[in-house]
Amino acid sequence: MSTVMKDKLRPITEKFSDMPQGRVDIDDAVASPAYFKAEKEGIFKKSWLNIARESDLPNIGDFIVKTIDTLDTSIIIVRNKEGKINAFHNVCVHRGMTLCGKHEHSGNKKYFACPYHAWVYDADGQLVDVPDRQFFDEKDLEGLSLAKISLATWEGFIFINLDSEPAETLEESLGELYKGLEGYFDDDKYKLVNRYEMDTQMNWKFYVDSSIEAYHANVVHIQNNTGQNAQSGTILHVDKDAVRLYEKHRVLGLPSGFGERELSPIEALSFQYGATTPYDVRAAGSDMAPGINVNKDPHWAFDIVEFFPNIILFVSAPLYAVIRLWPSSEKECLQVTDVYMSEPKNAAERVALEYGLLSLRDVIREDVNTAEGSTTMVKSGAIKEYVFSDQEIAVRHSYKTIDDMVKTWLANNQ
Amino acid sequence: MNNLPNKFEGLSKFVAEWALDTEQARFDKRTSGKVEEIKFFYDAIIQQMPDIMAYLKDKEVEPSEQEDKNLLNMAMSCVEVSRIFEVWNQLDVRSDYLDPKRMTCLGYEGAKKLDRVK
Repeated sequence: MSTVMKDKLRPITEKFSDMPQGRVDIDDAVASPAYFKAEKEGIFKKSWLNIARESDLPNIGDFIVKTIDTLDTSIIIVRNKEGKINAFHNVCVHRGMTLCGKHEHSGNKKYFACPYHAWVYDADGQLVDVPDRQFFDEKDLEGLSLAKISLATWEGFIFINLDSEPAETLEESLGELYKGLEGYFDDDKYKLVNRYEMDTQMNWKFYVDSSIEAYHANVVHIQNNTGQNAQSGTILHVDKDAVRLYEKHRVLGLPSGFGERELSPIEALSFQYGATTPYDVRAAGSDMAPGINVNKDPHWAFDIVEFFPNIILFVSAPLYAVIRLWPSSEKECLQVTDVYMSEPKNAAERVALEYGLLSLRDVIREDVNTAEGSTTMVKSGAIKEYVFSDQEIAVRHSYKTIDDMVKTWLANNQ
Repeated sequence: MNNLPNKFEGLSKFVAEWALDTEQARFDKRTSGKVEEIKFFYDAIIQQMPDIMAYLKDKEVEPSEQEDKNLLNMAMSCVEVSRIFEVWNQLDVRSDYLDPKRMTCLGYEGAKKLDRVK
């Protein structure tokens, strides 16, 4: 193969020439219980993780409860009387009962009373009342408060970190993306319009993998929007300038409007009544944050922003979605997808919005299907190496990021 | 008894089965249904969808009249099932591993309710 051809076909690899090349040792170990334990302790419990948006608890006293198997804990997130958001382990420091029960997911409270002996805490986690206090030794009660979890916010996103002293701040962790995406996530423009929850049977990494490459879309999503583009005979691919690999995070920009295709009847009607999918050419906006559609490509459809390790942001002009992956084992993962769009102004726009929601929902489901398929076979150990194309460089990068952290954790904890 | 706006009364016989008011109900109805039975509904409504959309454009997102609500919910069911005939040529996305029962959705209606609770 001539050098010219090589340059043409592997431009992203050339761009990131310091990345290791060739086949990568990836075998059944990456989906083993031991590897998952290291991911959980060495990555998940030490990283800034987006758990909700501030708009999920708009008022003073609003709280939400998230039970996260990945983190071995249940977390109360509450807005205190000054409007500040705090996070605590959902556990009474007396004898370890949960403060909010299994079925209490949200609400508004000034105080949290333990259902066991009625110890009472405020929204700052301070112990404010102990019934029959006289029976305790006052010294034992001194300084007791709920176990606090590190919390930081950015652009309306609430991040937590289980590490009591995180190695880096949220700003340091997000790096360039911290400023780059500023202003896009406008709560007045984009409202929560849906939440999908799936109890999947996949290794969480296999879902991340398909989110950060477009090579599969020509096959897996052939019957969906991107695939309909592929049906036109033009192969979907990501431009080298639209791939960004950060220390831990990854961003990909996906194009639209290549190749001719006919809109399906419902798709055409939806586009007529509202800009509901990134594939509606009218949806492509240029007035977005500098870090979105970074090259200001007029044929841009959407960005995939992967906040390491488990958050996939789907960012486009008409909508954004936050996909959160909460693995509970090496082969099970809760996937929660929140979708934000502009409110429809009439019933026809509502129908158009439904089209946008369903096309996104079903693309996600197609990706879960392949991730579950791979999960069923990984244990066989039949595959010892992965082969990555130029288009899959972010996946190569992701495995390296994770493996380095897992190995570091194992070296320090064995 | 007219359960749809006059103009669309020809679709009345589908109201009981297809005027479903949540995405979960529409999704469950599709994924547990049979393509031939669903096609009967799709073929009847798809011809009228341009007129239905034009009519719904003048209605609130949550219409007050029951007959408008029914029409809106049937239009949403049409969107849900259209993918069988317009996109996939099968009942669902490729789902050798995926079990539709493992998905729950809040839906637009649910998400709005969540807003109101707070």
